Amino acid sequence: MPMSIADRLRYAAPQAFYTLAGRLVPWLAVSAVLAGAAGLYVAFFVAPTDAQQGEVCRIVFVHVPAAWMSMFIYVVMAFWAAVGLSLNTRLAFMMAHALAPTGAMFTFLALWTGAIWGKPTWGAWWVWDARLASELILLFLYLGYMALNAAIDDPRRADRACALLALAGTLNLPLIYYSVPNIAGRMPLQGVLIMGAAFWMYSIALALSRVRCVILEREQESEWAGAQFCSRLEPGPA
Amino acid sequence: MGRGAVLLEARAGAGMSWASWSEFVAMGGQGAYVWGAFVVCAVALALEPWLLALRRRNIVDYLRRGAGQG
Repeated sequence: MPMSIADRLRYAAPQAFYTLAGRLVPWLAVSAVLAGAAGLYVAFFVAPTDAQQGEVCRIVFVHVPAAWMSMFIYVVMAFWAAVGLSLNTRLAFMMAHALAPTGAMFTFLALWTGAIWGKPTWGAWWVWDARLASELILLFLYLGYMALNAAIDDPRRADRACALLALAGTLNLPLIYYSVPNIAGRMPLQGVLIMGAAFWMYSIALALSRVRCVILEREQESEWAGAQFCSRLEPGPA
Repeated sequence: MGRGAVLLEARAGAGMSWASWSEFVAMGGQGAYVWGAFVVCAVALALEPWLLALRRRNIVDYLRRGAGQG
């Protein structure tokens, strides 16, 4: 009997996706490097010096894209967590796991570059307002997700626990979104978008590379995973 | 004067902010802030793929030994 689409999603997906992701990663990586180089060129050689802030305004080219990514990645992670919980697909949980470290890194960068920008511009590294506090909570959500995943030995239980945490954490997102002032009209949007595209490509490349790792780790006892790397396990003519 | 500085000076005519490498590095006296932000970003963006490559090597070495199949 042919497999239904749901069955395919449930059982065949990790192996097929492993190959597909492997083909996409080099293209994404090259795009990320090219867009990143273009973004840096705009940041340092095209963008003018800000009359009030001085050269420190160039931080906008990494701060804003990093802050965007910190939220986007969480939305995508929560989406895969929801798919995993509702359809019980292993690959969806693995995607969520693969996104968390990249999201945590961008959240850290958003906080770090924000602090460095804030000191010379507004006179403080940090203030306890809703925007900064909710971004800090976002960092703790990512780190909590990763810690929870590492702490639970049974992968099926870890998947579900992490997914629940990821979904609960979405309550934090509107807090960030509505507390950030809309500065779209006051920043060099094109350059920021170029760097944003670079960060997107980077994130997808990293998430796909990491999900390949997670797939191999989870499927290490399967015949296909062994055959990928060990010649004596190559599947014979079946 | 290095080749880079020549390039920078050539571009300076086209409305760029920097006349020399030292001006570029100084960032109008805000170099510590600007480079503190950009360099940390560059390090983080390079460190993550590197750590991931180590993680991948771990599992690939394990599979290469055929350990997954006992």
